[in-house]
Amino acid sequence: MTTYIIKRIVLMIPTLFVISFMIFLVLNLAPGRPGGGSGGQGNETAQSQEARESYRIFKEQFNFDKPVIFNARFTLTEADVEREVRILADFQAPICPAEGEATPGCIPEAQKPEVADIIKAEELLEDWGHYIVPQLIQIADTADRLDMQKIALRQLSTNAKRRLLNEYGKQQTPEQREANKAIHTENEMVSKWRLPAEADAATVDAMMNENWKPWFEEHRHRYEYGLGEKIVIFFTDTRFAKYWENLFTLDFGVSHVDKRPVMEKIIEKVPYTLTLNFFAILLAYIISVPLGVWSAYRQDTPADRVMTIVLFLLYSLPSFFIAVLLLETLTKGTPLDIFPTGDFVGKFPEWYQPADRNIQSTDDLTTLEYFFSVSYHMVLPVFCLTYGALASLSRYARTGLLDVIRADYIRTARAKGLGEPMVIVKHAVRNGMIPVLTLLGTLLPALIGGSVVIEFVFNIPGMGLYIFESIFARDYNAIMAVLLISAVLTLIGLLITDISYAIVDPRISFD
Amino acid sequence: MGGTFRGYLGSDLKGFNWITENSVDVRNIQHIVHNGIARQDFNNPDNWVPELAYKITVNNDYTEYTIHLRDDVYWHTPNVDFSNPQNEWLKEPRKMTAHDAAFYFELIKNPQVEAGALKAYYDDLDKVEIIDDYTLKVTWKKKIYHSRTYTIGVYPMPKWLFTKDETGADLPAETMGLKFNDHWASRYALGTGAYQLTEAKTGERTVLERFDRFWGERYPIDRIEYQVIKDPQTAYTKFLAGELDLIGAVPNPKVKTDIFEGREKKYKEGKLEYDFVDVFAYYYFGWNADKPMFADKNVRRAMTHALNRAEILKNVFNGLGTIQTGPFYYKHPATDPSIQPYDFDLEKAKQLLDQAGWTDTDGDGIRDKVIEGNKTDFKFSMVAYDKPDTKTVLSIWKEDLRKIGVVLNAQHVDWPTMQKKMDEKQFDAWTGGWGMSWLIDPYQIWHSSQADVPKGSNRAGFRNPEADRIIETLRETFDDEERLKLYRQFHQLLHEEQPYTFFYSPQSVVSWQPRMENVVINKIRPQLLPYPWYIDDTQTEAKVQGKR
Repeated sequence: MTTYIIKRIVLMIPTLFVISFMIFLVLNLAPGRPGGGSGGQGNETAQSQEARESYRIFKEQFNFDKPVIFNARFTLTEADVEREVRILADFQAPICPAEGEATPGCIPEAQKPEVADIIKAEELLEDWGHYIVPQLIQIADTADRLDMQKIALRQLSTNAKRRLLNEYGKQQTPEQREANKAIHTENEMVSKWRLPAEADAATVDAMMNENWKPWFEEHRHRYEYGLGEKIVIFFTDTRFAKYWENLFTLDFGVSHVDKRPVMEKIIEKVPYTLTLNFFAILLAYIISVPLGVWSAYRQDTPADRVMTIVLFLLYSLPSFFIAVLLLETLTKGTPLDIFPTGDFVGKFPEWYQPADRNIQSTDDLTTLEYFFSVSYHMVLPVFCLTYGALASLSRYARTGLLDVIRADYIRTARAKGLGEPMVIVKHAVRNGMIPVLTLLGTLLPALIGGSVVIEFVFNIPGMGLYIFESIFARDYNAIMAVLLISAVLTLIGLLITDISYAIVDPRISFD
Repeated sequence: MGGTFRGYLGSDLKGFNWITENSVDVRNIQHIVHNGIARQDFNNPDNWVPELAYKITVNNDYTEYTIHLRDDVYWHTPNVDFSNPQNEWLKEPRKMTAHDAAFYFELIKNPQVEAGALKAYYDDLDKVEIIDDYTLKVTWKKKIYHSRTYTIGVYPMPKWLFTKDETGADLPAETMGLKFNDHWASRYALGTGAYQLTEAKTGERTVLERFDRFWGERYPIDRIEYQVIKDPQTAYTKFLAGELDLIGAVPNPKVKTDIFEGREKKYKEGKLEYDFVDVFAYYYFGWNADKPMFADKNVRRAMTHALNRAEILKNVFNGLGTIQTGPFYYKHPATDPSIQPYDFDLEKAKQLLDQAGWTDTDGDGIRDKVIEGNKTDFKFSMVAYDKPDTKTVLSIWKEDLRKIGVVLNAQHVDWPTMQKKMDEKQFDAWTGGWGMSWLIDPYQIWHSSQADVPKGSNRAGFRNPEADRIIETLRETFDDEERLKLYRQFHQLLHEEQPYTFFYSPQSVVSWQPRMENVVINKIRPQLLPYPWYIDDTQTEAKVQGKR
């Protein structure tokens, strides 16, 4: 048994890696990017191009400028870079008039690049970052078109910037600080080496000869990679590698939305969902197992049939509808006002008002009061989560019992004169409930999974709502963290299921 | 008098970094906890009211602003845990000085700070000099109209806080800007205003309380409590149950059933009050003038004539809104009152299409025209943001267009896809909305130069030399009357050209409990600022019923 468990745990690591790889791939290849949201109603505020640099910093912080899995940017040639620069230059060039004298440097209308290509070219040049500095120097120096030289120059003043060391870390070491100072000064310097759009050829040459070329000669070694370095870059300078690098130190990163650590936010949300789901699941089992046993015992009687119909009716009522209906009728006095309108804690029923004290926040409550208030708030959401689960769970229980109720040992138990309750509860139920029991293992992820609809309607700030919002905001780090945690819990849950099989049913052994 | 005002927020606040964060909810909180150097008068927005400054002088060219700040203004103390000795340095009361005001400009100009949207306005900022602790001079490179708003309408940032880490040690200068983007102090909503943040629980609530060292007059309400409620429907239910004092927008279907049809007895019996508020936004349908089909203004006007705006507004939006005729807020003086919206007139639309050369030559019921040697049917696709209202509106329009031989295909897409299509200009027409502000600068959306910028906002491809001239003159004109003339010319021009079919500007229904007294609603944002409001618990009957 121990060997089996160890084997399973060891197997979990590659499984988890593959899972995370799949999620990562799907997330990063899905359309849309983080950073752009709608104004809720689909209206927006006019934004300018100045957002570009802000967006570049944002991309850098979250490694969106890096390739997803493999990085072969050191193989980029001057032709690759030139192609993109040419697109940008063509876009800026004037269009040749249909007839008459052509303006110098103009391009025919048919050759004007599509906007989609421009956006792609801009992104590419920006994302390629320092890998294309030598190529850009080449283009800025020798390109046959002045406008291309200027675009290359402009791009250089962005791409030649280096990343600071540990810039988002809490504390930098003195060495890092020293290095950062040097990098910062250099970055400031290169970002000034750009020219206005109307600059002429002589100014461009002067800028190249005085600033960029000497600078490049001095730092050429930065852009020359040995074979070893290339291999390291190929595998490690990527989004996936950077993500795992952090993950090994159990750092799930910060949220794109509010820049707070994802883990901190999850820990904040788990208690709400855990409370809600724990009670819902507990209640569902407490009710549905006896119901299932009872129907199995009275199999095919009218009572069983009525029970089945009622349960399936409940099952088919959508919980979002019932939730809204309950809120409408039971909380605001039309006709009844017996429950709070959502939230997790804070209100009390009318017959209990701790009025003698001035209660302004939940910190002012005693532990007992807090517990009481939470239970009061949980009645409606727990009900909504529970009733739908009754049908399936009680079916499991019913089938489980039906499998055993006609078994020989039950007949034996009856034959040896045991009372009917004893036969059912002790002999039949214990054996018949094995499938239900093993379902418990899969509950582990469900406990923190949360229900989007119920949390939304009852305004409970739990995990369901969190992942829902994260998906809409394309908050990759948050989605990754939640899904990875669920994956781990699922794996553990499955293991527990298998072990519990062996424990409950001695006929099963893994050795 | 006194008491707690209970409002709600529709989303979690993402921290209170006044420079990088620009969601509406955070902006509203900013107005309550912080002050600008000066602010626009809420009910006469062309006037400026001093706040942190007692005097501002400007030279004749509007390039040099000298700002004299009050010397009795204190920053709030962040609501950190003071039992932790590490936080001891935050306890000491600190005055707001010229260094803090200058720090705002310093941050905007710092390339590491992610203030994308704001930065564009500061391109022409020359320098900011601190003359003494309470005086600073802001110099602009050239005379430009928005320099006024972006010099005196700004909110100082606490330099003593944002240049430090949690222990009070200096942040390294070379990473200061990056750290600022997610600075630890952003969760404490620092300001100088009448109320200070005392509690902020993500997903639950945000509480503001009276700030004792506030420099200005004392407002009646003691405490403001915002619950975070994600579902507007739940918020409305809570409001009806008496757990909230005011909601900014009654959900649209409920306005019809509960208020207009009187199905909610609290409205019927006058136990709740309500009023109508303009939302500072407008919706439109844009035409891509770079496509031959919509290059002709007659075609665009025909489209407008075929849209039954009055009936749609009445029946789909419960009459909550005003038909939009141009790019300005309809109550702004810039809107030319002589301009009437094009009426719904299919005959007129047919004529205009005939004039533009679109006729049904082959008798298949669809108009066609020879474009670049090919016979083209008048079929176009409209990229639409996927929401129920838009679907209804487009299906009505589609039906009316069919009657005049035009085929509209609506493509309903989600926001990321929509954005991508917008950026790449892959559309004949699209649905959209713009947020508006009192300060008008049509440059981003209407200047021809912006039509050729990738991802630019001039998506209609509107290129008009006359419009360009007006926009450029507006940027340099400070004289109000002269500006008004230019605005109205511009409005006329857009009405004539119809680069958009302007749709409508929505209204929402604000509703509050009768215990809220003197609920004054401002003409500009922040419209629901609780300064003059007060609470009278003895009131249970509504005094004013909604007026329209």
